[in-house]
Amino acid sequence: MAVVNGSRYCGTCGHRQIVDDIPETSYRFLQLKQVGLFFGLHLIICCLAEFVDYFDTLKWMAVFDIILATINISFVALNWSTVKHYLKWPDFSIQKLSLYVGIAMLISLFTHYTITWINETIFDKHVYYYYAFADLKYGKALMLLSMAVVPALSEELGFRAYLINGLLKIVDVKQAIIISSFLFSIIHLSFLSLYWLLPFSMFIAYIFLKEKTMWYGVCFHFAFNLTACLFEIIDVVPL
Amino acid sequence: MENSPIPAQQANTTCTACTSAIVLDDNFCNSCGYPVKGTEEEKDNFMANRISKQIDLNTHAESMKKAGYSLYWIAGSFLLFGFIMFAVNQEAEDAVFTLILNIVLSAVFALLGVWSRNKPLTAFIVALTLYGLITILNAIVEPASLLRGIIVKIVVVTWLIKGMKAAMDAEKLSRELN
Repeated sequence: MAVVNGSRYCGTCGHRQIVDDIPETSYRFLQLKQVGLFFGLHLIICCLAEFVDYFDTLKWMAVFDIILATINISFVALNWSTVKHYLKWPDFSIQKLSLYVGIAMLISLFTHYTITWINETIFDKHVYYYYAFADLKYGKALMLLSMAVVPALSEELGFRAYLINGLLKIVDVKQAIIISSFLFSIIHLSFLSLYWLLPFSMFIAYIFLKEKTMWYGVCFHFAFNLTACLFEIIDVVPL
Repeated sequence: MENSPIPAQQANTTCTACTSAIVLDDNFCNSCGYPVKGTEEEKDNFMANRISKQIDLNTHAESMKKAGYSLYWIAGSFLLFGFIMFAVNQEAEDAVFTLILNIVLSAVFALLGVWSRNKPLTAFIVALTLYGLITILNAIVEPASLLRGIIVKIVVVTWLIKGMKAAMDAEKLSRELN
């Protein structure tokens, strides 16, 4: 029998016409707990790195980077069946890549100047991460590795590839973007940086879901951090 | 006769369960699945099941309301605490910054409370994360703060977790009912 368009039930046999796409609450809550564990582990590591003086060295920073990367890889492995599709790059486009990299550099430029202005006018200080690497043999290269390459790969794997896919099992697309961006922003433990971190992470989350691959996001994130690092090096190292 | 897939001119009557328009030829309501031509027992069972789901939905709505109120309580407590701290430590270097921070956090929780009416699950997840983060950061600065108001903290966290579960259940039940 033909069913009237838009009907939820067949008028003749009473069969439900709409597929119930909302999973059971127990399953969604289990996924939420897994997301909570992921975020909790990140929070512990970030708080230790940020607030415990003993860990305020480059060696410990490297150790924490490795731990965070291991956590991200572990959660990706746990959810491999859903995440694996986003690790491919099927529709590579150089135009798109150039566009995203260009946008990232422009945002980084804006962020650099606004952060410098805030630090100078409100806190009357300059913050340069480069000083931590300045005395090392390959200081500049190590700075780019630890502040541009590693975060772009590790954070995109954790906060986009795993987290957004995890959240999509609990909420819809828009909410997944909002929650993942919020979690990514506050894990940086910088209240003032929220003004750029939130739109930054929302844009990467949008790219991730639109392009169905994490690699445009990785390049965007890398270009953003690389620009920020280069600005610091130009500011600190006399030409 | 809202949400009916049947055009009004073709409708002969309305469904007893959901008041949608139905045609006399139909054995079941197109909107809710009510057995229009079923036996009395089938009709009673359907209505009992539907009413039971509606009662569950109301219970979940109550839990979500409580969780929403807890966000207003948090907002109020931040505002109050901010002004008290400012009054006590006016001479401190960061007194104004602390006051502004408390006002901003209060506004954020109040907004989350308002937002929880439309998107309860997302609002509760964001609120619980933010509340947990603030509690941890306070504990790092001053470990004793973890125990201060511990009962209130437990109640707030419990309400928010219950609110999350209720929001998930309510979403599913609403889809089933309509």
